[in-house]
Amino acid sequence: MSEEPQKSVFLVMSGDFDHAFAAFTMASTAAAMGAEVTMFFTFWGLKAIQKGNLTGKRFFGRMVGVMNRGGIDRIGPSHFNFGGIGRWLFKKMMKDENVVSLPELRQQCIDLGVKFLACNTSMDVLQITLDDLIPGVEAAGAATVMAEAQQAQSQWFI
Amino acid sequence: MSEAPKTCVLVLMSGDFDKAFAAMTIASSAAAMGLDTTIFFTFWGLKVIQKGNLTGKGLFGRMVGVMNRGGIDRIGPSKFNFGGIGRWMFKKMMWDKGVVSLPNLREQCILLGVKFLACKTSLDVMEITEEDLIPEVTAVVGAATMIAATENSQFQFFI
Repeated sequence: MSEEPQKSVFLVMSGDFDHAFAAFTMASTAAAMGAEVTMFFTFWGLKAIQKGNLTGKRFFGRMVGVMNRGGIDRIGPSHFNFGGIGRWLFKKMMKDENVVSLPELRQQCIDLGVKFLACNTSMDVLQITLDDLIPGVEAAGAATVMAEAQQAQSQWFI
Repeated sequence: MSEAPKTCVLVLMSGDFDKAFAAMTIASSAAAMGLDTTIFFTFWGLKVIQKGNLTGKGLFGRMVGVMNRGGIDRIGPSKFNFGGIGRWMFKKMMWDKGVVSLPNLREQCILLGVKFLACKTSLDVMEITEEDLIPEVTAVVGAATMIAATENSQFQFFI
């Protein structure tokens, strides 16, 4: 146990700014400490790894694509969003305190070798393709993640 | 440690369609992989294992029973529900893609031997009785039993 590298698995279901921030913070920290980290993005969580373009092919898919548009700069906090004003406010407060921004934090995770997986089923249902996601993301199913979670020392559902 | 069966414990507090779907997906995968899997349903999560009838005896209990009516077909997504239209839309989008439905997924969990535990305190507070729950619910227990189940647990999630 002690010879093998520590593993952490994060299941990110929330598409909120604050939840994504927590997930990327923990993931980058764990990776920096030498752990093998996997992040599995499912449903609303996919927004954090979408490029931000409009998605969907058919009517409902397009509707979801508009109402639930992805992109890391577009997601807002779970409380006090106020149609985007809260998002701007929190970002400003973070900048004033020199806290790393969410896109930078995601890039840190990538640089530290955190593996990004996207949920197959969610992508199918929401009509999001791998092309709509940032490069380097692989699609995976629940079984893959569960197998990884079983080997991991810490697992988080966010 | 290696001889004892490996377990997986999920605490489902959310009563939203999407969260319930995630919990049931994780539980059925874990059970299929041979883990001794338990889901502990508490508060809003109880809606997922309610039969769907009206509940409650006193005024407040009945009020909760109406406003927060349970039943697996009645719960909606945490966002974009729009009074049921969003629920219908997501179900349709899932159906179009041949994704398993939530009641079927729950049935799979039951067939795979996932244990369903209902929170005693929540039942008491919301005035829900055991008869209001589906018969597959294994037991009505308290937090201590749930914590005890996490012994030898490979992973546990709070959803």
